[in-house]
Amino acid sequence: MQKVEIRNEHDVVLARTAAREIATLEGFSVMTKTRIATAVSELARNVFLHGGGGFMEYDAIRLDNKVGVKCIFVDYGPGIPDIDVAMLDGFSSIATLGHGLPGARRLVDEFDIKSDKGGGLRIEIIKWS
Amino acid sequence: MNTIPVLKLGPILLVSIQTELHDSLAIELQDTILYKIRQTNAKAVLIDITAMDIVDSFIARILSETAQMAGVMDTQVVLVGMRPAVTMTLVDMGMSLPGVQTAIDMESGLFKLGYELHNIRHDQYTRHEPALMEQGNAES
Repeated sequence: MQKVEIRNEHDVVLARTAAREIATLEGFSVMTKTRIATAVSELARNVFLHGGGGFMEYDAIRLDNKVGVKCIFVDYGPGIPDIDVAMLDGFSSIATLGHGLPGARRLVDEFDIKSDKGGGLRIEIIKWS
Repeated sequence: MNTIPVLKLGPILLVSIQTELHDSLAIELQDTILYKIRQTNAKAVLIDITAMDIVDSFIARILSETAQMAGVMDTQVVLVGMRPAVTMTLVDMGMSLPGVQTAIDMESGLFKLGYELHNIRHDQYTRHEPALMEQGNAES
């Protein structure tokens, strides 16, 4: 797994560029590349805006005949008390439009979100080519 | 630091985003556009995003807000050149761009505006000051 630290908005650009590059290497179509890069942009921004920083780990994965890109986002913030509410369209704890998490989920094939009671958030996504 | 030029072409402002748009650069661009509208009395703004391979919810929101703010200043905003993959991604995410007019490319955007600019009277947008000359002619 490769890793991108996410501490500020410039790192958001680095994260989505990294996702786009690995998707390009794996032969993703323009459409699929755009979807994964956009999802990564949303989730990386979430890491530094809501989570106060963290990192993304990413890699190409293979399963049967499928090729995909897997990204794991980890932050050290307060976590999300009610994940079901956070995943609703239009819900936002700060002054954004609340399209980030639900929007990102629609762009990928697998989306797994875990929040510890003690804080921190871990989101894992997979996009198949 | 990258900056995005906002160019004046008659009553229109031209903006072509050719660089990777991070969040504060997007906010800075919004400020610059509104300031330039005030400064130049622009009637319309064309924002070209042909070079942008990603428009996420934050950038979409800034673009949409900019269009709404410009609208309050009586200035139209036309977003041109959105790539098909970007369009499909925004729709997938459930995003729309309220208040934003769009055109397929810069040329169509100009045409769209030009068509409507026919209705603007010359005295509402005067680059030269013909009043003195006319006065001179009237006296002779």
